[in-house]
Amino acid sequence: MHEVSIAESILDLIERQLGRPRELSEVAIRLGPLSGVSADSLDFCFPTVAFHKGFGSPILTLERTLVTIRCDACGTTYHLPDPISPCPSCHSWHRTILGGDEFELLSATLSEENHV
Amino acid sequence: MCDDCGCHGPSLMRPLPKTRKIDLNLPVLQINQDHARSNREFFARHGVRAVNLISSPGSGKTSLLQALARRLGPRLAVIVGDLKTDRDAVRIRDCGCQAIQIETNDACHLDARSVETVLEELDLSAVELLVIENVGNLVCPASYDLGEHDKVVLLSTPEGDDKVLKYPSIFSRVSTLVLTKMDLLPHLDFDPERAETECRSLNPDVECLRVSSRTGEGMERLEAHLLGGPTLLHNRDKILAARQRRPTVLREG
Repeated sequence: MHEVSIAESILDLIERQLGRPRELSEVAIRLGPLSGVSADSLDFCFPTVAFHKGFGSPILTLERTLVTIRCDACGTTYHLPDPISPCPSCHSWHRTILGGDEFELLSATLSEENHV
Repeated sequence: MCDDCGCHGPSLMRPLPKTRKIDLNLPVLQINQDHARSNREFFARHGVRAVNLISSPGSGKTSLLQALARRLGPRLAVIVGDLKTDRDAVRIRDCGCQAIQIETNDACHLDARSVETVLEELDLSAVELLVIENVGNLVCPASYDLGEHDKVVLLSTPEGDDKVLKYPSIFSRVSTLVLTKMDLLPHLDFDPERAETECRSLNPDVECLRVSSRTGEGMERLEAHLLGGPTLLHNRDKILAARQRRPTVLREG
């Protein structure tokens, strides 16, 4: 469980990129199942961390991705919420994971009149 | 005049604040990655290979490093993270190499900045291999690049051969899987093939090794691998490489 420090990292990065906004209204994150971060825990703690760090009460929008896998046996590309089952076409475990570890800060929305 | 209904009183509705959306499209852990890059440059300047050693508590990280320290002596240096105490650093130091303890004060992982702050305390003039023993945890350390060349995960035989797919985020990023406590295998229902096959299903390029720190089984191979193994391609780079892989076109002439 390290989602509080993850929430702090999000706010630190926003501050580094944009200066300190007095009122942050929304933060959008893209999060994959292999990111090692619990979306629910992050969603739960983000408002509290943001408030205590003086960023107001932003909404956290999470765009959740799937794990994208290419089967090395039959060539099928498939998508799973977790990489814990084999190829749905040929049941092979020989595969290459093409995506699913995404963890990106997509955008920050600031309240214009309060923005410094 | 009221904007809401046209009456002559003041509006009771507050206008919605104007907002401005700014696209950032940055890795959330960009600041950690900047520190990791700085660590990588430090390792390159000092000609040191760095390993990030990750496992559950009790998988044998420190025992493995003690065995490695007895073999490599001052060619090895260790940075070790624990919530409290310097017990691990003392154990490793007693086996003949430098060891620096980071007490994380209940934090569940090391990040690149915490490693960066202690790097200057090391005398790296004779060191070839720097192992960063992470806090015992298979979850949080997965997210943090420390600037290492090799991300090594230990799985000990008593933990069970079905553990890999239960922790896919770490096992999909690992560059080396080391099965430890192999001397206990005769007493356990642990199938090393299963653990290795499942790890390869998440990460076909993973190097798999089997060791016992107690008997010395597999230590020679592990030592050679850690000193000169292939440099870790971070998962993102791997994904990009897989996407961009094109058949080579040979030019005539």
